Parts: sequence; C-alpha cells; structure tokens
Amino acid sequence: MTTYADSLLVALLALDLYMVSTNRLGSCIRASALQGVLLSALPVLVSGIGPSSSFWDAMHLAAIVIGTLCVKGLLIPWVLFRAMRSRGETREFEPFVSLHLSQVINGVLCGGAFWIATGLSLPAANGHAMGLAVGLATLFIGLYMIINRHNSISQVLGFLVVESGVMVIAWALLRKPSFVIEVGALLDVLVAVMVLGVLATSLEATGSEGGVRKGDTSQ
Amino acid sequence: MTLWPFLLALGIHLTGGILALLLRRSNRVALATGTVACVVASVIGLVAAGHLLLVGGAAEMQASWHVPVGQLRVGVDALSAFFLLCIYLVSGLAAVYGAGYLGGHAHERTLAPVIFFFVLLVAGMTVVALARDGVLFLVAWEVMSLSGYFLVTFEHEREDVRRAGMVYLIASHIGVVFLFILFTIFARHGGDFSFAALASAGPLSSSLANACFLLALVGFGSKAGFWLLHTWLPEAHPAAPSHVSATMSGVMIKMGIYGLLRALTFLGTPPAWWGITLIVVGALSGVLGVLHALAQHDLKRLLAYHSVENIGIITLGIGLGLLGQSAANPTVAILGYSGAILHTLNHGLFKGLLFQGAGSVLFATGTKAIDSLGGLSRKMPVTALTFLVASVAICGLPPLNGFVSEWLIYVAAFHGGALSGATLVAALAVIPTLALIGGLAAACFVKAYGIIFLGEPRTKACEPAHDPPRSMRGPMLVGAVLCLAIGLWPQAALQIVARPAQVLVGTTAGADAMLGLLLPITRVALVLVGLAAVLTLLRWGLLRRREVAVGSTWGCGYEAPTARMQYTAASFAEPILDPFEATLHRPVHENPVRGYFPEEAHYERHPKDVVGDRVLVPAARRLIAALARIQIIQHGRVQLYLVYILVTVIVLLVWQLSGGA
Amino acid sequence: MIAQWVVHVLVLLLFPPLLLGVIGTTKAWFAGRKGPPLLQLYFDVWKLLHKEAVYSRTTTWIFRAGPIVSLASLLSAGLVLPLTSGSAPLSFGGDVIAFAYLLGLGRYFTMAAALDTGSSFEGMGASREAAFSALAEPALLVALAIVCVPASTVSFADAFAALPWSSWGAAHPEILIAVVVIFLVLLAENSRIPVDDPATHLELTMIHEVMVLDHSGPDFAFILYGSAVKIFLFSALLVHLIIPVSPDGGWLGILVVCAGGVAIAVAIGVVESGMARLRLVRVPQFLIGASVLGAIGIFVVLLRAGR
Repeated sequence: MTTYADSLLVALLALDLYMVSTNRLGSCIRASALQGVLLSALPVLVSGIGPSSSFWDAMHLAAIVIGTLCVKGLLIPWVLFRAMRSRGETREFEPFVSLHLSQVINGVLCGGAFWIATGLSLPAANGHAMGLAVGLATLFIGLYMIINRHNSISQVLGFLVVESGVMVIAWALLRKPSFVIEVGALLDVLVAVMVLGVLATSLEATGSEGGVRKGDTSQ
Repeated sequence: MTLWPFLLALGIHLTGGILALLLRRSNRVALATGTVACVVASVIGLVAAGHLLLVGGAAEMQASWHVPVGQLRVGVDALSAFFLLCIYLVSGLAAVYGAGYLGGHAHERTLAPVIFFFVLLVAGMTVVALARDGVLFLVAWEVMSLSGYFLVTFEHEREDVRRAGMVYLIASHIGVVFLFILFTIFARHGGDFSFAALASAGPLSSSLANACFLLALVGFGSKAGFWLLHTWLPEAHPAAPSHVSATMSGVMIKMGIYGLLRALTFLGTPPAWWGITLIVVGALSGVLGVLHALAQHDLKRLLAYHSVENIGIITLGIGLGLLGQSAANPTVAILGYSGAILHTLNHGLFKGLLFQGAGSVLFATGTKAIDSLGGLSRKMPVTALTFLVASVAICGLPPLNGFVSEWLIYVAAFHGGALSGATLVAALAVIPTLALIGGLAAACFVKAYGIIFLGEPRTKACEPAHDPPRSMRGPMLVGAVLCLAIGLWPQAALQIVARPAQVLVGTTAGADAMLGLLLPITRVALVLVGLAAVLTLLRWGLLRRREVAVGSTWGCGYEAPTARMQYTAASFAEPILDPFEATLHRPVHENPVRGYFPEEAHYERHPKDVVGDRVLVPAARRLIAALARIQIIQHGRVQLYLVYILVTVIVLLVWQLSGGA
Repeated sequence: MIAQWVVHVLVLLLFPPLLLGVIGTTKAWFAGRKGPPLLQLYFDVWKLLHKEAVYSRTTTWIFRAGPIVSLASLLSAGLVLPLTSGSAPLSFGGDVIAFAYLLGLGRYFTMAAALDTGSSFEGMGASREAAFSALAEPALLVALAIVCVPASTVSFADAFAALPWSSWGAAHPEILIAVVVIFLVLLAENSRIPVDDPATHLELTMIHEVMVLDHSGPDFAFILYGSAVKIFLFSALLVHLIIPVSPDGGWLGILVVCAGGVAIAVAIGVVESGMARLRLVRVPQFLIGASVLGAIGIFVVLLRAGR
C-alpha cells in the first residue's frame, strides 16, 4: 500500500481504541463517523486509480468514495444521534468488562490480529500485511464491542466497526473496486435498517435498560 | 585448595551451633557463641567466595559415607561461589542483628534452639550450594527446610505462628516431591547421582529435558516463591523472628533460584518456550506480587509479597537469558543472566535490610500494623535512614544498587529486538512489565516509608519508639552502605557477576564489553550526587542570614487537625489498586456513615491472597472431601490392619512363586 | 565538544521557565484575557530565592531534601538527554532507562516529602501521583522502545540518528504513535489538563499542586523551576522525534530546540484550553489507553520488520 495508507490504517486503530475506552455514546458515534470518513479515503490511496485510468474506473471509485462518506460519515451517525436523543440517554452503563480491562483486551486483540496476519500467508496480501492486520484487528475489536456492551446503540456501533474491518480486509486483498466490496456496501444498508428499527420500535438487546445497574452515572 | 575455606566455615558454623546448644543454660553465652561463630564463618566464607569469583577456578572433592545411595561429593564453581557469597553476607549481618533482637526475648524463653536452628539453616544452605551429588543436595535441602520450620515457629505458643509453620512445611514438602523425581531422572540418565556423571553423560532427549524443566520449575519455584506457588511466603516470613525473616527472604528463597539455574546447566540448549514460560511466570509474580503488597497493612506481610515480586524480576532476567541462549544471541543471554544474578545479591541486601528495619520497628513499638505508626523518623533516625535507603534501592532508583540490576535486564530486553517471532514479543513484553512493576513498587514503598516514619504518630504505640541497640543498628548501616556502594560503583559488582553468568551461558564472550557499559552509570550517579550537594549548599547559603521559621503544617485554613486525619496506608493505596480490582480479593466489612448526624460507623478491609483464598483453599476442601470417602479403610482397629498386612504378604508370595517378576 | 556541552548546559538552565510563560500566554489568549508576562516564572523564581523559609514542625530532613533531590535528578536527566545537538554530555548505551528512572527518583522524593507534612491534603496528592505515575511509566518506556528497537540501540543519541527523516509522516506511523504517546505522558507527568489542573489548589484537582503546598522560599523556587525543566525535557524529546536536530549542535541546534519547545508549549496551551479535566477515575483509563496505543505502535514496528 502506498505510504499514507499506513498512517490512515493506524489512525483507524487508534479510533478503535478510543471507542473501546469511552463510556459516552456521543463520543462513540463521532468516532465512528470519523472512521467512516477515513475509510472513504482509503480506496483512493490503495487502488492506484489516478488520472491515467479509464473514465469508468474513476467514476466507479468516486461513487464508492462518495457513497461511503455519505452513508458512514454522515447518514448513519445522524440517525444514531436522533435515536440517542429520542431515547434520552447519553451514556452507556458500565459494560460487563471494566473499561481498563477492555483497553488491555483491545491491545491483546490487536496483537493477536497482527500475529495472525503475518502467519497467514495469503498470496494476494503480499506486501499488504498491514492492511490485513489492521482489518482483522478492527474486526475482532468490533465483535468485542458487541459482546461487551448492553446498550443497543453501542452494539450498532460495534457492528459498524466490524463492517469497517471487513472493508479494510477487502481493500487490502483486492485493491480495486469489485463485487466483494459492493457486498460490503450492502452490509451498510443492513446497518441502516437495524438503526431504523431501533428508532422505530425501541427494540433492545436482552438485559439492558430497565432497572438501575452498577455504573449508572447520574451526573 | 579452593574448597577448604568453605568447609572450614561450615565446620565453624556447626561447632558454634552445637556449643550454643550445650551452653543453653545461659542465654547470653549461647547467643554470643552462636553469633561469633556465624560472623567468623561468614567472614572466612566471604573472602574465599570473593576471591574465587574474581580470580576464577573450580574444585571438587569426594569423601565416602555410609548411606547406600549417592556420594558425599562437594565442589565449588563460580555459580556456587556467588550464592555462597550471598548466603554468608546476609546471614552474617542477620546473625549480628539477631544477637540484639533475640536479646530482647532473652527473658522469656531459652534461645539455644533458635540459635542452633539458625546455624543449621545456614549450614544447610551452604551444603546445598556446595553439593555435587543429587542425594547430598536433597538431604541438605531438607535440612534447610526443616530448620526453617523450627525457626518460623519460634513463638510457638501463638496459634497463627503454628499455622504459618504448618503452611510452610506443607508447601516445602510438596515442592520436594518434584525435586525427588527430577533428581531420579538425572540419576538414571547419568548413571549415578553425582553431577559430574550427569555432565559427562551427554544431552537429554528433548521430551525428557522438557519434563525436567517443568519439574525444576515447580519444585524449585515453590521454594523461590513463584506466583501460584507463593502462598506460604506471606504466612511464614512474618511469623518468624525478624533476623530469620531477613535470612529467609534474603537467601533461602534464592536457593530455589540456585537450584533452577543449576538444573538449567544440565539441560543443554533450551528451546524457546522455556524462556517464554519463565517470562510469563516472572511477569505474573512481579505484577501480582507488588499489587498484593500494596494491599497489605501489616509491614512484614508487605515485605514478604515484595519478595515474591523481586523473585519475579529475577525470573524475568533468567527468562531473557534463556531466550538469548535459545536464539544463540550471547548479548541478550549474558545481560539477562547478569541482571538476574546481580538482582539476587541486591535483593538479599535490601530485603535483609528492610526486614531488619521492620524488626527494629517491631522491637521498639510492639506492632507491625502500618496504620498504627507514624512519625517514627524523629525517634528512630538510624532505622529511618536505612529503611529509606533500602526502599529507594528496592524501587530500582539511581544511584543505588537496584537500578543497576534492573538496568541490565532492561538493556537485555531492548536488545531482544534482534530476536524474532514469539521470543521477540516475549522479550519486548518485559519492558512495560518491568516499568509497571517499578512504578507500583515505588508507590508501595512511598506508602510504607511515608506512613510509618513520616508525619505524626497515629496511635500511642509509637510512644516508646527508640533506635535499637548497636548490635541491631550496625548490620543495618553496613547493608545501607553496601547498597550505595554497588550503586555508585557497579563495575565492581559486575566483576563478581560476570563469571557465574558465563557458567550459565557456557561461553566467555561479552563479559568485558559489559564492564565498559556500566562505567557511565557511575558518572551519572556522581553527577546526581554532585548536583544535590551544590543545590544544598546554595540553599544553605541563601537561608544562612535569614529567619527560618517553624510553624504547623498548612491545613488550608482548617483549625483543628489531628494526627488521625492523616492519610492512612489503606487510603494511600486505594487509587492505585482501583484499576486492578479484578486481580485482588479484599472483602470489605463496613457499617457505613448514614444520615446527617451519623452514629457509630466502621470500615474494615482485609486483603486476602487471591490464589490462596480463591483457588487453593476450595481445591483443598474438595480434595479432602473426595479423600474422605477412601477413609473407610482406616477404622483404627489394629486387627484389621494386621489382616491387610497378612493379605498383602500372601499375595506377594503367590505372585513371586508363580513366576511374576 | 566542550563548547557543545556548554551550550547544552546553558540552554538547559536558562530556557525552561520561558515555556511555562508561553503556556500561560496561550491559555490567556484563548480565554480572552491578558495574562501574566512571558518571563513571569523567571521573576517568580528570583523573588522566591530571596525569601525566607517556613518549615513545619512535623517535617524531617526528607521535607528539606525533597525539592533538592527532585531538581538534581531533573537536571541530571537533562544532561543525559540530547538537547541542542545529536548527543548529550552524559550519553551512553542505555541512557534511555537512566532518563526514565532519574525522573522516578525525583518523583519518589517529592511524594515522600508530601507525606512528611502529615497533612491529608498532601497525602491525597502523593497517593494520586503514585497511582498515575505507575501507569504512565510503561507508556513512556513503550514509546521509547518504539523508537529504539528498530535502531537496535538503547541510547537516545543513536536512536535519534537512526530515525527515518525522509519518509517520516507518511511511511512511519509508528513514530507518530510514539510522539502522541509521549505527548500524553507529558500531559500526565507535568500535571496538565486533562490529568490535573495546574492553576488551582482545590481538592478536586489535587495531584501535583497539592504535594508542594507546604514548601516556601528557596525550596519552592527549586520546585517551580524543576517543573519548568521537566516540561522542557519532554518537549525536547518530542522535538528530537519530529525534527532532525543537527548532530553537531551550533546555532541551528539551539534554534530548533527552542523554537520546537515553544511550539509544543503552544500545543499544550491549546489542549489545556480546549478540554476539561478528566474525572479522576478516568485518568487511569487515559494512561492505560496510552500504553495500549504504544503497544499498537510496537506491533506496527514488528510487522514492518517482518517479525
């Protein structure tokens, strides 16, 4: 991958860490939006499509970039903010595993993902081990977020992180727009449906709100 | 011959002990005899060991004995000499200290047994270091453990002391079982029990070597106090008299390290996972040991948990040494082993000093509870000073000796960047682990030193405090001076450490390069001391002609502060332990403050050992319940036992007759 | 050589108080007020050196030793860290660890001096300081390891010389991570917002400020000056990571370090003005997060090296 892509991937990892460490839903949503923006910039750096490629390729790329930016960077966060306000909650309850331990687990998952990425010798990933590693790490961290949180908005955010991880892996392995990536975009649509469902019916995962639990911060 | 001084020292030790036992009518005479013997023997041994370490050489000799198995074979090389150095140094200082300490107990009971068993403990450790035969090693190990038991139960009329002795005995013997198996394997491989036969028998098969490594890890580790095997340490060390605690924490647990290192010399080139295992064990012991130490309110238990932590640091060094050996990287190996070995000496020094300080506090005030003390620095200045030196040293801060050994381990870890794969990760993981351990240790010793010696006295227990007699002050001052000396001139210490490290690594490469490495540390230490002196002069000059007033501490306008309002040990440790709550087990008993005009309220929090309480005790209970079912065969009736014997004999005879082998 | 060291020592002694002035001015600008003059700390230190001292009855020699040991260790650390050139008067293989532990020595004595006063306020500050510095140490050492391990060295001079200047920001995100982590540690160690509020002595914000509550006169001058030196040391470390300082020093070296220090001081001021202080229970998360970020940096380093 080109050099700036590495920095971008590291920024994605840092944002994952930030999302795992914070209790506030608002900060989490904003971090997710920022991840979406960075993710939309990734294809430009990776695919090597520049002024010399064909018109359709460039258009295709532009569509993906703009699509990701709008959906992940603008639309979904906006909808999530609305859901958050309509339910009147701004903070997550204390998750199952304390936040300190979550950060350490985050580090361990990153390490594990990096190790696996170097261990799996996928031919397409030659020289792009960084992308594969970061994508796997993001995937694991997103799954961890879904497991660890009670609040359904946080769980949606976790799912978004998982999906970002899948996208990063896809771009690392394929490096140009293709069918697989468009399927990934369909995952985004799924997320949008989930969020609308959250808004419309206030469906919750089992055992979240309803009753005071440890860590209920009332300031 | 190089061996004679050590045997002479051993003889003097034993003579002194037996004389003390014979002269038990008069406590003073017995005490004097034992102490003089210990000191003379220690001096002889120290000189001999130092000479051997600086000049080099090895020796071995054999005598015959009437035990059918094994031989009476003793020898000394650089590794043995180093541990002998530690033994003589710490036990010599402890013996002098003990003369004063036990003098305070002279009116209660006869001192001859404790003197005799102390001598026996030191003799046992000496023979462990000198032994070159498996059977002799195990015999000496048992002597060491058993005399430790008798020393721990010095105040045997107390229930908690008896319990502590029992825990110590059980843990010790569980470990010895593994050692029996280990030495049996060695003997089968080598032909007989002697180490020389083992060394010349060629390498062990890799599965056998792995098994031996694990056996050594558990067997020697239970004596050393690795995490999970450590639960006896915080029980036994506080129960013993202070000079014994100093010896036990200072050298007896290091015999476990010696055993592990000696076993490693027989096992050839290690595979990578050995080093990684030791690093994991070391990291757990270090971090969890210091966390538990932070949670304690009893000074001696706190120090005992710190011994676990420092054993963890030594193990980290050994792990790095093993990683270097397995990757054929001599820099990492030499640096790692040197750091571990030097830390063994350093820890013996400053932990011995700390326990002596704790003993002085106990001697003067009658209590070990940190929260009852305070402001003792004014009443016990010498104790406070030496305790401070030992505290700063144990945190690994320059310009004292702890910094040098931890520095060596850090540099080994940084150089581990040249390795690859899992060994690389393990080596680099040492860096944040050691940093965390250092930070938490600093927190713990600021707490211990600050709450006991600084501030205002919290209860009436502090009133009779005074500096202990000269016999107790002397060893503490000597220890403090040595800590400072090794810190300021680490090359001298490195001369002593280089040879044992080479014995372990098997080559002589790299040691001279290391000597050059340590010279700049002296420069930095001297600059530091110089700057401090300059600033002191500056301030003295500025304040010389001005009025220096004395007032009360600024309390932010609060008019009626009391000594009980000071921070306590528990409150000091609370923010530090809060992120690590999951790893500790500290049940709270409280009657909280309620309402605007609260009535009586109290708060109690007792730190319990996580492994002991949550793992070992329930497991033991289940084991006992399961075994209770087999108890059916034990009725207590002698006739039934005779039936068992008769049946067994008949079965054996029939089997033999039918041609079974 | 000697001239280089003389310059190093002069910059170390004379420049640091300016940084605190810059931070104060930045914060004042954000707050829309005029703020104290840039050279205020110089005047404060001068004034305090001329004052008398008051010592509490409860204190012992530890209290009198605290500011001296703390300042001596900071200045020694300043002699170990390269400032105006590529190496320092006391540079050697392994000085990275000496640097970290010299700072630790100063901290130990500051905390002990705080407990010496027998006041619960200082005890509170010492306790929190112990907690946070225990968590900040691993973060600092991991960040330094990010820089040192690829260069196979344990010395600042060699590590700085081996930094890949040509492809810095783009191709070496791990250096960026190291810079961020060290900046976070700077905020924690120097009692800046979001970890601690240096401007008040209220109970809520008591960490560093309250530990030194009882010092007066020349002792307090040493402490104020020491805090400036500490910020300068961390800033110089960051500057060396961001910009290549000429190995021979000279005017360019002085300029880079001083200008860089001022820039970082402005950055600190911006951060302080833009954020509120974290709740105390969140500070450990802040620091553990910094350590984990550093660990991620190490993973990136290892990945690039092919592990």
